[in-house]
Amino acid sequence: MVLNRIGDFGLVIGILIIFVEYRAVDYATVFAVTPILTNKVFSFLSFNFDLISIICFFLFIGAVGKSAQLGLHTWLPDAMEGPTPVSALIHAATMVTAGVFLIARTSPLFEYTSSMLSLVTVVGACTAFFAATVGLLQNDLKRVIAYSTCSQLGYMVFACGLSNYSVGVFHLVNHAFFKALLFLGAGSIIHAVADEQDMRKMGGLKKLVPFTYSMMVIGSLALIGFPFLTGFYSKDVILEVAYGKYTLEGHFSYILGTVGAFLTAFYSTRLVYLTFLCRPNGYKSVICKAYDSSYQICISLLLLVIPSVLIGFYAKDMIIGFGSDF
Amino acid sequence: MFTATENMNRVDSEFIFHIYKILPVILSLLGATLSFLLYSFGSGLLVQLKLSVLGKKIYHFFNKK
Repeated sequence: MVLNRIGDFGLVIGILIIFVEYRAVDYATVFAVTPILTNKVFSFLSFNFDLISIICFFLFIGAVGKSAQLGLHTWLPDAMEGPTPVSALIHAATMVTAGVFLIARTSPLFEYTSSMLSLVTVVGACTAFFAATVGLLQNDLKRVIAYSTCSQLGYMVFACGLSNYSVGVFHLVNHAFFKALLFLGAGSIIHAVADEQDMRKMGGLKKLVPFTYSMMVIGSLALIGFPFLTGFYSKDVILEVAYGKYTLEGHFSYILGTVGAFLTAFYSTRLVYLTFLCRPNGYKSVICKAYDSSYQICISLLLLVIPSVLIGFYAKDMIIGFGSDF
Repeated sequence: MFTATENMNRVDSEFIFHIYKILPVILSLLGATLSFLLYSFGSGLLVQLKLSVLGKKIYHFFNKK
């Protein structure tokens, strides 16, 4: 709650500075006037700041709070106390990506301040790496997926910091499908094992919940960027543009992003192994009664698995293709 | 979305060395394989690591808020 308020406070301050200096807050006016104000100084309490940089800094604080970036990230795993379908919608696909959308939408401001772009890149890359390391050691099924969300948001943010906004948005779209699949799959597992969320008390569910198992495997493969699945198309391009930037922060984000990809694969496989493949570790009475969820849940998983496999391939040219005006 | 001309690098990134393009995929596959093998055949090693002094410190560091 407090962390979100810090982010909101930053966003409000940013909007207030825009209103004070531009006398308007509509996108068209602000973006049209920005090139004229690139060298303008903003004075506050006898301190002088570059106007565009200070606006972008506060907008970025708003994005950090909303998209659970390093420093303001702990609210996201804690929010996993809520119902799983809520997590699938709000904490994976829609709300947490608002920060990434904010950066992409205000790109005409960020593009005039290289220092802020560097800050966005470094914070995003550190989040991608740090959240992956934390996800490695979690035992709660939903918390592992929550930290993976945090990590993937880091990839999106540093893609925006490298001025490849469309690539960040492409990963946002892809991530929404496979992460919703993973969350709903996790909900199906938790339902099957009498609301148990600790992966150490699961195991051996492969034969008991085969449909959920196959859905979770496909979702995990899409998340780790397995070739020709959805996650592969966007994550690969993000890391390519990071290296292709040929700057210090570009190489920094490439290294952290690549190590983050390794860690993502590690904890995703760990999740599948501990839940489905290892020997049963839970109570016999619970494991024996595990069953696949009702057909309504299976249909929703089936509807999500199709884009989790195909959307990357089919949407690539539309969103990040050369010549696309997306 | 707007990108300043001097910040555009999508075309440049198409021409980076091939190894840097496939390195993330290689590491991803390596990570998945390593995880599977470690948890299948080296779970004793993981328990030992977790119960060591360094392992406990790492575990507590990453699990505290």
